[in-house]
Amino acid sequence: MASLTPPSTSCNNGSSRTSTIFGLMLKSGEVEQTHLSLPGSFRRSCTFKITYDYHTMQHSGCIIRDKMSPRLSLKASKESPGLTKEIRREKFKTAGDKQNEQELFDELKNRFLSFKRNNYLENLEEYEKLAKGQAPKFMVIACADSRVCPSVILGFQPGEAFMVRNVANLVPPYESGPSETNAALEFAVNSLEVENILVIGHSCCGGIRALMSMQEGSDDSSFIKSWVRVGKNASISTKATASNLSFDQQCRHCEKESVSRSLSNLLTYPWIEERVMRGLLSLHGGYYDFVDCSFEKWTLDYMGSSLKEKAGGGKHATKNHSFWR
Amino acid sequence: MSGKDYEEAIEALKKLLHEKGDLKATAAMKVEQITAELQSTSSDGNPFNPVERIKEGFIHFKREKYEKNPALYGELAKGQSPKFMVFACSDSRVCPSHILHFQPGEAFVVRNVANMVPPYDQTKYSGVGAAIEYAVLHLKVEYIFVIGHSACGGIKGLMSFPYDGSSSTDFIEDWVKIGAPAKAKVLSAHRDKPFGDQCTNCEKEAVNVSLGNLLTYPFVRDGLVNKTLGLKGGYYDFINGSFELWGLEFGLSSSFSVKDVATILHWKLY
Repeated sequence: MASLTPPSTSCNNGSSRTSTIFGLMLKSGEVEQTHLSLPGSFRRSCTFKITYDYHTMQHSGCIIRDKMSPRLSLKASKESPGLTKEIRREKFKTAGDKQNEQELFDELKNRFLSFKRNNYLENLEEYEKLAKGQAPKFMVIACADSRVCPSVILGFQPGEAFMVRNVANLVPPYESGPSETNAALEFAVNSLEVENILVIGHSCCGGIRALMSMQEGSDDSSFIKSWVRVGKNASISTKATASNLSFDQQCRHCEKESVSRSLSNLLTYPWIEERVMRGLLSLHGGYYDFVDCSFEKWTLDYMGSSLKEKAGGGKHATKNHSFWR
Repeated sequence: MSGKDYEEAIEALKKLLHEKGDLKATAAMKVEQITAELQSTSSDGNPFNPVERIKEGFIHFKREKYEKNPALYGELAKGQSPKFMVFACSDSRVCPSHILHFQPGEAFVVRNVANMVPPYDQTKYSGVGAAIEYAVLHLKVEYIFVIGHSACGGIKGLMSFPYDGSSSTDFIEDWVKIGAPAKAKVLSAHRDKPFGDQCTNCEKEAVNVSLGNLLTYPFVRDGLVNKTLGLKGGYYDFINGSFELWGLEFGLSSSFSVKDVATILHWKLY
């Protein structure tokens, strides 16, 4: 992997320097530097420089920090502490676009300040405790879909749930090798020692729809198809048992089936199975239907599963079904 | 303390008071105190019930949010068109819905250990690639926002793991290794700083590594070139209660004059 070498910058126009980042060669021509006025001890000046050569279709990037470039000058600010404003910028965007962007991020800024005022500062003691460490009782695996954030629909507060969100809330089995989802599983189970893992599926899932639409043996270079293949067994079993239903209904069936398969895949991780066997960890499935606003929930019944089910491959027995509407 | 013990204790105390009249005032106060303690314990003293916890949460959401905004939720049921794709850490303390108050429909959110974006690799990192592809090509988000945070366990791991051929985890070391360029940069630039400061610097540098890795996805590059997509980095410090945001702009240059475009949108909130 390419290593970062400290990039050098110069205030001189027209100077030509090269630096290597991520294995790409960066040629710097005119270096446009933006100086920010920052109050007090928070002086910082950052320059981000990306060049894209249209003809060679090569991009190169360089992110420079002031600590790397002591020659960048910093201006002391006479402004009161608070919002740091952009001083100077070069842009290709139209004024209208920039206006919208400014408004959008001003909105985010206001939201953060509101969170800080109404939530963080109101519960400072709690946040100070959390700052020292987290001890969530849940690990939640949910879809990245913008409509299904578990903090919103299940009311998880800061500190309560360690959360993984990926396309179609899939859990690949242990033998599939390293992935972002199983690194998170390992951390949650072995380091944080969560007591519950909750896999939440949802209605109208684009990822599941893509999975159900995939043709067998199709050679597709799409990332989406490479990933949702993790849920292949769910789609095969859905097509086998629910072929008389409409495509939409089949997708819905598959959304739930895939949650069950993910729960079984969780048991392929030896350190998960061990904790489940010892009663230290419970595995739950959930399904959020945002069309009629209902939530279905079930728990994997490890003890109650037959030896054959425990041997792996299929689904396990479940218990404690609930439906909240 | 079970109810029975409490009752027995109160009975014993009453008996004592009866026998020793002058203790009454002190004892009365003590009884009140014990009662108060017990009342609070009995509500917390039950073992944690995860199902009840999520049921309460869902019912509250349905009543206070869903049913009060039928128009919004009706539209969302038909489809989503979030403006943002957000990469945030899985850490329980940094949900973007809390700190930036994202409402349903606003942000397509990927959460993983240390909010990392790996470079393009269809075999190894198809999960992240799938999310970016879906967000950029299908949902047509306008911004990809990578948010790092303070006291990140994943970054601490990155800074601590020796990467000398030995390995103590199945998957974690392999995953956080994505941030290795940030670690190298921090170790060379801040060699003499205490470990905690190095971790803080690495948390921010790793966001930049992720932003850089986003450029290895052709559909992200296309979006940047066509100016339909912007990249932003963020850092949430829950120890000091602050949020930093910075941006990246991307420009075209002809082969004859290499023009650099550097744009900062940088605010720090206290």
